[in-house]
Amino acid sequence: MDFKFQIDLRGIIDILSNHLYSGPQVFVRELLQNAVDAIRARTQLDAEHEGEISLELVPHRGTNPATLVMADNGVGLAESEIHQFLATIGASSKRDELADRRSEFIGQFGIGLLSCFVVSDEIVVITRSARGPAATIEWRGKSDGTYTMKPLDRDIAPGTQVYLRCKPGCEEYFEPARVRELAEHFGGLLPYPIKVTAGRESQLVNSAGVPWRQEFSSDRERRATLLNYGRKVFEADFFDCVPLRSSAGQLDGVAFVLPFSPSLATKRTHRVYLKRMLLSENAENLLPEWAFFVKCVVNADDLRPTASRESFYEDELLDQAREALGNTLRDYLVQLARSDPKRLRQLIGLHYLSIKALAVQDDEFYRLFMDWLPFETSEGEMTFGEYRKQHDVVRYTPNLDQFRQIAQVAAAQSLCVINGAYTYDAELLERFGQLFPNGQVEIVDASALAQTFEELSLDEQERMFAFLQLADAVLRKFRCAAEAKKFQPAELPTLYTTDTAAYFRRSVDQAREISDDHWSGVLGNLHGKKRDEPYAQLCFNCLNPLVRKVARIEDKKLLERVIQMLYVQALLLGHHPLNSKEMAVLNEGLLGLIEWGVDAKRETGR
Amino acid sequence: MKSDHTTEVYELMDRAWQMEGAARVMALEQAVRLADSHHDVELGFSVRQSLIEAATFSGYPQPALVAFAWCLAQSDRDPERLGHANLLWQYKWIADSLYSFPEIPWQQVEETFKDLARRSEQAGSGARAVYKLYMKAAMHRGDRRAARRHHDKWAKSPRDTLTDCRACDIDAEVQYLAFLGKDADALTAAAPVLCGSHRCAEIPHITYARVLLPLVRLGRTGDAARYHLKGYRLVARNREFIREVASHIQFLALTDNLAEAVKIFEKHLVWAVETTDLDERFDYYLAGRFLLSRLTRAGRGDHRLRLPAALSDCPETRSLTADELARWISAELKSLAARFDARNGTDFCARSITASDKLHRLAQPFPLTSDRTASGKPKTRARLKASERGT
Repeated sequence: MDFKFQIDLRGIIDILSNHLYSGPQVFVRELLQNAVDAIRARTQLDAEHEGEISLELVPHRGTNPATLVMADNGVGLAESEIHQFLATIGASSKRDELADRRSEFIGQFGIGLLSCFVVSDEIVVITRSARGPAATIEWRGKSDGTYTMKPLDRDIAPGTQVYLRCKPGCEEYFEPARVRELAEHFGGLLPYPIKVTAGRESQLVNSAGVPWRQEFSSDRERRATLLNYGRKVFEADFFDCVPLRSSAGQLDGVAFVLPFSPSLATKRTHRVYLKRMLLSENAENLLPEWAFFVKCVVNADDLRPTASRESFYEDELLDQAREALGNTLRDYLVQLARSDPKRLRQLIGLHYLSIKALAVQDDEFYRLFMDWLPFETSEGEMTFGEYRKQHDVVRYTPNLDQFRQIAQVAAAQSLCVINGAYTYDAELLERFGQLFPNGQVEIVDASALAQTFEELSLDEQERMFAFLQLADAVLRKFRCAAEAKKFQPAELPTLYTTDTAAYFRRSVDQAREISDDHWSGVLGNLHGKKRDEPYAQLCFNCLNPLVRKVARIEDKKLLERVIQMLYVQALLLGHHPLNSKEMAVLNEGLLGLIEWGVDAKRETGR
Repeated sequence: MKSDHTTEVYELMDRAWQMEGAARVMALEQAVRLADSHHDVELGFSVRQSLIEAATFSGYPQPALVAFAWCLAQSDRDPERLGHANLLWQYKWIADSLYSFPEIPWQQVEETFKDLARRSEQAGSGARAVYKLYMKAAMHRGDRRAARRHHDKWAKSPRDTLTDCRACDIDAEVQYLAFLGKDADALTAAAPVLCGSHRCAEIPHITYARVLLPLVRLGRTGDAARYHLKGYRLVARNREFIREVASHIQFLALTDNLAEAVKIFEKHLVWAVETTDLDERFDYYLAGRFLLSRLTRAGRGDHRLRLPAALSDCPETRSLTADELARWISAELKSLAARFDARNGTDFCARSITASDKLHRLAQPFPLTSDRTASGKPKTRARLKASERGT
């Protein structure tokens, strides 16, 4: 008798192959999954039953295409159950609903079988139920949606055999080497022997078992074995390995510490097994965000897969498992700090970003690790511990720009300043003050620093008075105030300092210059009361010989020019942008100085 | 010469993307200054595009606004070269941030919306995005009638190229319903986000925080607790989410988890103090004030809280008792409310303060901390679930 699915099977196959699965090769996983489910169901009937799975390849001969026969000695299907799985397939063509049906054995069976249409236009299933006396049934389905079903005269042992005939274009999936590779890839950790046969050659693909569950005579042996396993799976020589275990999700496995510093931007992915069947090589959501320094292989017996069966579903159980794994990795680091500080230092050299990410959110961890973490300072890179040994107060700049301004004078001022601009750094430094009542943390900015420079004596002030008055007047049009102090290094004639608020006022003015009335009005509100305050200060260094000489110039015109040039030079030194007025000064100033120089020469030449 | 500064600007941008939050914004600002110093308008434009995005999505609306105004003006001058498709999209973010500056008059806010509407029409987009802006601005002002009017226009407009993603639109609907006090409807509307079928870079983060109070009002504290635990983690590291952190603090205060609430409040107070988004600061202080009054009612008004260094308006000491801080925060709130209400021509902010005082009657202990270890990390959530069943 002929039956019709009543659905557009091609549509479903399209959904499965193009949207739900990563590629045609997953049919091997689906067949293995069906076999494993069937064997588990049979073990429930008979605890002593020993499951077996075999894949046999019959090469193509004449017009007959190559055939793959997958056989298991699982629970098998009765006729009524076959009707049930067909109903499941027919019931829905939506991928979410398909996914829901996978939770039951029969539904899973049908959907798993469908994936085989991706490589075969015809599927034959011969099955006999292990539940009581049952007939052997043959089901023959075609991808156009028709199928036949009949009892066979000859009986097979209870279990299921699936015959797939190679579809043109899918030959690679019927090559013995490829089938062996896929069977090992997906089923390498399965607890039932999987035999792949082609011609006379028969091979067991999963004899090794679960590597991290082996008995080890010592930690050293475990480490060597697991690192070897990591090398085989990921083709990398890992720094270290950490056994993982979580009761939530019944999960275990091993985390490999990456031998290089990962980029913050790339997602770390992991190889995950569900009930010892490979689920995904690229599962993303397994670990807490901070733990991007490891790559894992894990098996979970009790987590829900997503619709595509390629990662885990985000639920409370996964949350708990993630947290347990996070704690294991955290404990590993803490343990390493106690037992092998040298190795820890090496690890931090590679993975300080991961460790900083955890320290930011975990106070106890912070207390243990902060001293080991590296920071960029004005005296080069050092750990926080080294910094604190030399400095009572933690001083940092919140951005690169301030760091550059201050780095010009910091060493000469016997200040050591940390660059807090990098990810997590400012947060970590700020936290120090919060966690340790005696820990003093200061944000340094260049303007504040300039305030601490040595003031001039009364005599010096007198000598500089006229000069400063003129400088103030000259620099007013640049919204810059002039000061004179004494500071190291003496070679530096001036220090141009500004702060974030000043930059902001400057950016507002700049945008208003070109905006229409509406936007100019909107921006005008942002200035508040500070509208006319200077953007910056130019601090002349009275220890500098040039500045001393300049202050004695009596030619007012020349002095104006020199002040403007010193101002522009200070801007250029600190990588500050020149606006159009400042550009004009640079040009006029150069020309003026040349003219003055030539005139002076002519005068002396006369 | 040209390649020199271009290389340096790109290096700075690269470094910026290795940083986060404030540091990233500052590094991009520095790259802008460098491009400007070489009068390289095209480069300045492209760096500002990054700056607008980085600043908007890490909670720094001011530099975003200024950079945007510059880009808009440049693009108007030379649309051929600098007509960026992104600009209208960014305009939406900027327009949405304007009313959180009390110094910007309401008339200018509305003129900006009109300017955006005109430009989006020119670009062939509909008015849907602008209606949403009007609706959100009306909610900010506490104007229920205007909010309804614009909501209905928004809901009726077809989706177009300037429309926010579905997750964001769902969240706006939830915000609107919760604003009207329709808690049950708000939760129904939130379902597709809460169950995870719609999400984006900011959703469900914001929605989790948004449903906390409606859930408590509906007596579904157990669900609220679940979303608190899921949601706080998502917002804890980005200043963009000050308002959401405030909702989590309010929830913890309502459920008598005072130690946890104080810890979180202390940790993020620096964000509220430093932000230029005064609307968000208002919400944070409001949640803080409620927490402090819970402390007082629990007889812990003398508990000392640690304050961030940035709180320069406060007395030199780095710590205050809950009662002292409450007095300071109340004064700040009052002055913020006065500024907003004067600009908005309503009394909504002042009323929000009074409304917050009435939250005490909703307060009911719902312990979350019993299963936490000394380090403050939750060990397992199993016990939380058990207590949830109990309610």
